[in-house]
Amino acid sequence: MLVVSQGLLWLIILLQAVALLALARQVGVLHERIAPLGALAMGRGPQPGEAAPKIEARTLANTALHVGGKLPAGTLQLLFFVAPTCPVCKNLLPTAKAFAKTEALDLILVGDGDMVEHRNMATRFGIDLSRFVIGSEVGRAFHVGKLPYAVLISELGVIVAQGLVNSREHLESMIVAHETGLRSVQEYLEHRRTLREAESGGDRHEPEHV
Amino acid sequence: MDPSLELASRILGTLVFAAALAGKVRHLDEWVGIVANYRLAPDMFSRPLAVLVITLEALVVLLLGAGLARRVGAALAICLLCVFAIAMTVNLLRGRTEIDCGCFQSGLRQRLSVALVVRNLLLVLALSPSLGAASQSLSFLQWLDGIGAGMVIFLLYRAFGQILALRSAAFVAHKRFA
Repeated sequence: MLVVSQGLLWLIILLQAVALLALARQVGVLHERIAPLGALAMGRGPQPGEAAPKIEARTLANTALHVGGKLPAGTLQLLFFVAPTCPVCKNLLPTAKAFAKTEALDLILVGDGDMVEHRNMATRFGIDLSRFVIGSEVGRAFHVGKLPYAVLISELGVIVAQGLVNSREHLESMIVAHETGLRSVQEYLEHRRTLREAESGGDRHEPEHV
Repeated sequence: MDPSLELASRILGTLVFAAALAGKVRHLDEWVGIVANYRLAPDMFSRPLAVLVITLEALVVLLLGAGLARRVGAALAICLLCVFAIAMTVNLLRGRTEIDCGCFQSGLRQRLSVALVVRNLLLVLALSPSLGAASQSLSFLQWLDGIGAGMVIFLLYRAFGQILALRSAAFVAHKRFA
């Protein structure tokens, strides 16, 4: 009897160990296959690489603010389209603020609708009222359909990247787009595939087993 | 020492070295490249050194697996593990942590880390029961325990190796996108 129960125990432990190993391997496979995240480009309105529309807009502080056009050298402008009624916007706003600070971006919030609600939102999240544009012109010019939407504009006034953003990774992808010169995730994946093909064709010094 | 411990340690050693051997033989050219990357001998010795390691590992599998010269096999296995640990430590001290460890544990490239050195030392500890005097006859229960323990420890060793490789892969990915 003892032998049978001992045998059964070992069998169970063995199966558990196999399951653990299989799980760890599966995570490895996922790791290899996981695609990088990127802001979802909508394919309407002015596209990356084109000049951003130049608009003079009104802010919540009732001052004029120029969106688009040439910026001081080394500056990147991040337009972040939000609404007080959009829960994802509220979740992402503190992240966008912190992100703009670490990346030294000129963050401009753009909203459309009730002044009081927007002002309350700005106060709650500690946004400078003179950096919060209110009005529909900017959103219309960039063909913004869904929120939260972000547009990154270079110092030359050219759109670097834009799209629907839901997470910090999406925002980061826009900076990566600026650094790599690749405008979308699709373009990045294509680029990576070309690089891999070129690599497997030539001699590799560094050994790599996949 | 309980003979089931010796049996477990012998089975573990055989499986660990057989798996390592299979990986090295399957990716022979890469294995030569990895040996060269360790930069412990002039480049011209890389291939002979790589072949020597493979031969010694095959010898370990034969001796431990067949159980003919178990103690010699165990001693050889422990020597090899210590040499690998020293080779990794030397490169860790040189700061060359980016090279592949050559563990062939998973599809992922595995960078050198202190964890790998510790892993080798733990394996030495696990193989040490095989160095003991020849065991008396085993009861059926002892056979069962020895085989079960040896196989389970091997599988767990592979699983933890995989998790370690994952950790370093995640680290590389983080560094690339940070």
